[in-house]
Amino acid sequence: MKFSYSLIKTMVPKLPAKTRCVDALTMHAFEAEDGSMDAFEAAPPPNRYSDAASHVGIARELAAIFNLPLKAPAGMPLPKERNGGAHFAVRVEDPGRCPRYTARYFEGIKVKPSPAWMQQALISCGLRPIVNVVDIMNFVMLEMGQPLHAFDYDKLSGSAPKRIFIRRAKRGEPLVTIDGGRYELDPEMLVIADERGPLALAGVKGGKDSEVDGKTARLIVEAANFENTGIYRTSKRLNLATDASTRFSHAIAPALAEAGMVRAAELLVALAGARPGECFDSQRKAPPRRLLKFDIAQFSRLIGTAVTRERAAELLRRLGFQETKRDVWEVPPFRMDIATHEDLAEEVVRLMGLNALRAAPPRVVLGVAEEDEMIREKERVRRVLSGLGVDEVYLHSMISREEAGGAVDSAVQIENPPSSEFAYLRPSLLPGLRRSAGENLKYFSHLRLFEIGKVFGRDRKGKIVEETKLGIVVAGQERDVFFTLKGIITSACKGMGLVDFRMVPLKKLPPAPGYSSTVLQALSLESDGKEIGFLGLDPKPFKQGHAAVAEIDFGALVELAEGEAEYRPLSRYPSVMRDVSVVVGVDAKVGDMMQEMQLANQKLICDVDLIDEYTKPLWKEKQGLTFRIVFQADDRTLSTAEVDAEMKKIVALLKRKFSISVR
Amino acid sequence: MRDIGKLKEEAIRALRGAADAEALEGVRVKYLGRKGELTGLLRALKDLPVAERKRIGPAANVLRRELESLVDSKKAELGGNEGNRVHLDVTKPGEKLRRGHLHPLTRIDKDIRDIFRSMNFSVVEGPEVETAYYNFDALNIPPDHPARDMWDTLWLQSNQKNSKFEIRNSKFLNKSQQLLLRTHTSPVQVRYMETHEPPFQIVVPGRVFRYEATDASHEINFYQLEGLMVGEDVSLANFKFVVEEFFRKLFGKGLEFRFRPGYFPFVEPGLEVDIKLTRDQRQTTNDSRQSSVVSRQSDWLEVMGAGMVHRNVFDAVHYNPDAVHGFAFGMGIDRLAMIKYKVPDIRLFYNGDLRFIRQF
Repeated sequence: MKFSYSLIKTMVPKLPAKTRCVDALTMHAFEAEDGSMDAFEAAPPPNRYSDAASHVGIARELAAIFNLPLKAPAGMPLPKERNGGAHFAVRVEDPGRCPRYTARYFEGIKVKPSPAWMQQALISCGLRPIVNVVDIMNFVMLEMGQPLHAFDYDKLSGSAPKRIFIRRAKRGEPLVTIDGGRYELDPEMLVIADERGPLALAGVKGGKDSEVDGKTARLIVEAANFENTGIYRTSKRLNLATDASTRFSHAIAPALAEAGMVRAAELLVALAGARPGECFDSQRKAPPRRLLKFDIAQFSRLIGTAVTRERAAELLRRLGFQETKRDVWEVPPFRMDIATHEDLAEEVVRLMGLNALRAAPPRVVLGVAEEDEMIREKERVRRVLSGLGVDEVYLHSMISREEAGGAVDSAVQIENPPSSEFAYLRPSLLPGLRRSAGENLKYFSHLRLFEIGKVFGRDRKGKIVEETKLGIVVAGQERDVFFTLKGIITSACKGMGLVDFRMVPLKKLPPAPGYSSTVLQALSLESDGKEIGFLGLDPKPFKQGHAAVAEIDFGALVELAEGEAEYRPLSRYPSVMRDVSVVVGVDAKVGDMMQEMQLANQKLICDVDLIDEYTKPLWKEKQGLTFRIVFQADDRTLSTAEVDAEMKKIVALLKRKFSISVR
Repeated sequence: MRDIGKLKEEAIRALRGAADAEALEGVRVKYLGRKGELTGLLRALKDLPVAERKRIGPAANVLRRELESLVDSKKAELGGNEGNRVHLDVTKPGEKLRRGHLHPLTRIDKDIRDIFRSMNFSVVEGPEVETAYYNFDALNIPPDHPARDMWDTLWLQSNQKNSKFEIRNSKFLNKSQQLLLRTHTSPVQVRYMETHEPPFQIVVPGRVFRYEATDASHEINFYQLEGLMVGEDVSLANFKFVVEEFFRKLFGKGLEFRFRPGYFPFVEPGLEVDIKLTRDQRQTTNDSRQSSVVSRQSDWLEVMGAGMVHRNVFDAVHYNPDAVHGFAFGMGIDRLAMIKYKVPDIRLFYNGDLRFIRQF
């Protein structure tokens, strides 16, 4: 919001230089920034539009901060009689939406350019001068914070006294605004109307039909207060935000209406030759004073810095608060933001300066500082995976419709997507990881990536489910991407303390995003009878090489993982290693063969591994495999004869089950 | 029976004289081999009378051990000479063992959590999909008020076309129950207070979302860390102490602080915290000169919004606002990472570029 420094200086004549004012506002009120020439920017927060989004408001702040006298414009007080008169009458049909409505009749208007000082002030604030009547309306809004509107009296329908209604719009009622915009109104909206129809959209914009022009000689000036949420909703519904609607949306004080009218009357008389006539005001009696208790002990407890009662009282007085009796303070009528003791405390500390406050260590009951289990476990898996040479990426939580692929039906759609690439919440980490792998293969021949993050879907009842997943991609010219990934997952599961897990061939992937085609070369990761993830060879290789992908339900992994390792006695007897090389059909599954061997004698066989594989052109449908079997007993040194006998059994078993031949 | 003393003298002389491995092996066999002289002597012991055996036996065994160790050390000596002949260029590069790199936000998040845990703060998390109630209402951010516009919100569709699921029509949904992507980590304050009693102190790291056109300093998703401390005697002075300690531990000593008023509906008084790095901390590389964060580095850096928890928030979680006080704060983790690692563009955190990740 732009302000004119010279205009503020007329109200606080001893005001320091502009840059000092800007700093003072930033440190004691709200953010401000220097501007060019006479202008500067200040950003009153949403709760201070009523008192501070105006020149007199900024002047009040600066006068309080620098402890200088304030000389606000006096204006021309309203007459005692405020019921309209011979020229007009007002009926507020919806006082809930219009807490206060003031209007005044003026005649003898001479429309002409406004004086240079006023034009300059408008320009400093980013407004374009038009003619005196319009400029005065705008100027008073900037000066006092109260939006005003002037109707050309002679354009109102009916005969004197002309009747003005503040009422809800009728469904479909049309209004053409002063800028030529055409709107169809509905009963949620409030209008200012004459007997014929709407003259203005209350608190938002005036209508073309009653607009002031060069021939205007008589005016009805309105200074009203409209309920904030009604204006806010109307402005949003019509996508029409104006200076007035913005101010009213923030809730401004009904007292401002009178201040605006008083000042506008003074300026219309001085600058447009106006003769003020009768006045209307819907407010019959002054609203009750707002009183708050300020207790210095309570204040000190909240702030943790000792301040004397006298010092705090002096600061409150500077801001316009009045002590009606000891420790009871009356809130200035424009301050809509002050409702609690803490609000008063803030006034005191900000004027003191927050930098002046003490820093003191808390005195607390010592408890155990805990970390959510998921946080600890994420940290653990990151450590394990980085140790295995996998790089971590963070990707967006939103993906496009195309990337949602087969999961699009249960994917959560963004109601107001900023672009089509962010239309859905990701139902899986894999589309993003795949995209990232593709990008990175431009710079690296091979890569390993992982991400831990939330994915989103819907359950059968349509309720949104969010889960933490671990996604891994191995891609490019790595010797064997799938088995590298399988090894990574095996190590990671073990590193996470998952003791009992297996990977079994998966015929068909669940409808994973980006993987609608059936993936045959895939395994599901199972533990405790539950499927907790899968890994597979991506059916769509990059031009730089294949990619293998995995996605694991991280929550399930953490749940199934066993926390503590436990000691098992070490065997005191040596182990014996034997290799066996076999030739077998290519359809035989290595995993099945190893499992059979392992089960051949669970007591003596402690490990089975595949250590070599080879093919020869002559063999055609056959493959050569070399297994290494490790034997060990808990209670004795195994003899050669014993191991030979076990090997014989194993070979016989393999021959029977897989038709192997030994090389 | 040979004299042990003589045998020892002879054997040691022979060992010393052995010029190569072959000669050494000859000596070993001569004395210690299966038919060696000392071996023979030891074997003959059993035929001696007990008194003799007790006299010679221990001495012979001591000699055997001595000779064995001498053979070993001589062997090492001779073998060592042989080793010198193997060519080893120690200046060749080591084997390339690749470690994985953790994301910079992971690294700074860990640093931040560690600092707060050292000050007895617990670390908790909350959901990314939230209701308007937790994200706004309970935090004293009223509906149909421009204050709510301070957070540009991404709303979620409650009624989806083409959905095979049965979903309640949004028209019948209570406004407070409308779903959105949380715009800040503050809803977790409310969720935590609903299920815990003071005194406590927590921090809440997590991903948050804004409806935003992305540029060098804005992202559609980013990370925040929320802090909340509530107790009978928690004051604004305590807040100052905790955040000053935190930032000094994160960025180093010599940091300057500036506290100024700020407006957040869920705190009162509300404030913002700015920091100024020392000249050393500001040292930067050429590349990051364009940084929107770093280019204004001589200026104050806004790093935190904070304040004393508003009594309306305490009311919402059924605490007695006259019996407890608390402070709350929130900061952008991405922003802190940009300052700490001199990253000029927030988008680098989310585009998955390994050339970036591998710098950390």
